[in-house]
Amino acid sequence: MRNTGLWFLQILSSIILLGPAWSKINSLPSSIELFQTLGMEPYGRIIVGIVEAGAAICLVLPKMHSIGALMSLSVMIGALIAHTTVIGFFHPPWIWLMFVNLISSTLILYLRKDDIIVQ
Amino acid sequence: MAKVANRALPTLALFFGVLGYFVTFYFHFLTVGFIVLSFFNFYLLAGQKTHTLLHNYGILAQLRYILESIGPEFRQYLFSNDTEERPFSRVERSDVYRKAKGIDSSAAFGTQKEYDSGEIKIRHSLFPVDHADIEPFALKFGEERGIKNIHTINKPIMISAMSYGALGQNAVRALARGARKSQITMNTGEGGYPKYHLMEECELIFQMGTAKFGVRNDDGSLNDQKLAELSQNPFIKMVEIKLSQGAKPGKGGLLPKEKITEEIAYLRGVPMGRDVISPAHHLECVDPNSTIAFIRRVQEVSQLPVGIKLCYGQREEMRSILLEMKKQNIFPDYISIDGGEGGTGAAPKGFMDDVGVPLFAALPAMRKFIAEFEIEGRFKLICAGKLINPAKQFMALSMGANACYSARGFLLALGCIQALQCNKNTCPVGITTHQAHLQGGLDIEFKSDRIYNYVKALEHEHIELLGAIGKRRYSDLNPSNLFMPTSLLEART
Repeated sequence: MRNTGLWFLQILSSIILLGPAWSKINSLPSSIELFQTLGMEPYGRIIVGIVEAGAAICLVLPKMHSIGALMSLSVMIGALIAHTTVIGFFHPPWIWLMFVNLISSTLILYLRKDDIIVQ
Repeated sequence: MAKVANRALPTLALFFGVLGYFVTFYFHFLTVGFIVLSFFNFYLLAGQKTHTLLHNYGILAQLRYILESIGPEFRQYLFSNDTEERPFSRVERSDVYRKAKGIDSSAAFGTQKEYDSGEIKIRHSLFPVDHADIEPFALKFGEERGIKNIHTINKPIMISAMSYGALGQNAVRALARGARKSQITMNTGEGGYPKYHLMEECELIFQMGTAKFGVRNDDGSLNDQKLAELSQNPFIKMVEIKLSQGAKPGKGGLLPKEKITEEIAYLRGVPMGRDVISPAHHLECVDPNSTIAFIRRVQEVSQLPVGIKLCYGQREEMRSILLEMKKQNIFPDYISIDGGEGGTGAAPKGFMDDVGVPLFAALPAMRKFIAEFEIEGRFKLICAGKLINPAKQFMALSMGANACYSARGFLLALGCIQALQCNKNTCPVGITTHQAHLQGGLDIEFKSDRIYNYVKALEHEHIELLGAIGKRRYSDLNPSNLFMPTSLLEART
């Protein structure tokens, strides 16, 4: 049961991350515009895109789930800061997915805490 | 310090957050890092109660655990000196590595050991023997009983018991192929049908542990038919009944669940997913009488030389079993004495550290019994216990052993780095693991050459030592070849 739940969350977070990672790495106009607003175009966009893609892959790789979740959570916190301080919450329309991923990544990390805490 | 760290993390997150807002958004990479660390720290301090240290000191305590977990590697690589590591120091390991690689293993500027009167030393002769005059070694197992299938070994060293299960398949095959190339005999360990040992067509001793994997009935008793069939195999030259072993004398074998693959479960006839713990004794062996009867039964069923392996324990028990053997005129073809020092086997630490008599105390005691009961020449005596270099092997041979077993010496020759992970299935050099990616680096052909080189170098030094002691034959070795420290002599009397 626990494993099924974890896999559901991992796949969910991975799928959520794939879209934005794709748009950032492929320099879609919406991404460029977003990172121009943040003053991080193009390096910031590429770095965040690579981290998102890495997280999406790690989340579904054996023994890498926790690292994937940690990367995913970090990106989501960054996104939250960006939307809170600069961009606002009005666009894009799928902004709510960010919160879903934030919760999902946190849950994965909590359930896999034994993989992270060295004891 | 902990209080400072607890406050510093959110403060730094805030600081970089401000910089990120007013200077450049790039600072938020650091903001995010410190926010994550702050949450993690908060969880350790308030969200968990399992670890007191983490609860009281948070992320600082986590650093302590991280340092502790990498401590063994740091000590091994950076801080331990060349002579203080256990069970084998860097000096001892390097000697085996060099022998296995076929490179010069001489040293310079004096020994690194404490060369004082507290250790056993070999006494050399004023009149050494020329190497050309030294007679070749030959030991015939089973000759005392005059059986048809006598097994002769031509080197006084054999590969000790390590099963497929304890070792991965590549390691087993490399050892077995090396044994064939070097023409030495290898013990299969108690791992059931020795599939991978047999692949390399070397001479084998089939070991029967207390669980009798491979030759058992469902109730754990011996299945005569299975043993008879196995003994027909032309590469099985002897059978060894394991009564106890040095790593955990008085306890049965232990194979951790992490190392049980489907194939191992099949070969041993055991379930997967839990530790396989063999019984502490053979179902058939409860006293000297029944043990001797069992030895005779195995001899008759297998029609091969049959030995027993034991770690020397209680003196009276050893006395009574040897006396009973003499009374019934039934002897095993060899007795293998395993030192209590522990070996490759997974074992509870208490047993490994403190149970069983050390080899160099057990051997003289056995010899004393043999002389006292006048049973000299009725069986061979083999010994094992940290005998990885020629000098130690010669000490054992001088104390009365006819031949030596070594397990860890051969593992070091295979490339073991003493990572001490034999029981975890994570052996970094692919020897005691079944993980394919770790075994991938262990090339069977290449490593079997290392075994060959190691045996060749041992043989060469044996001859040099024998000449230096002034003996022409291995059988001429005796305790007077040794300098015994006063403390050991006193303990013995």
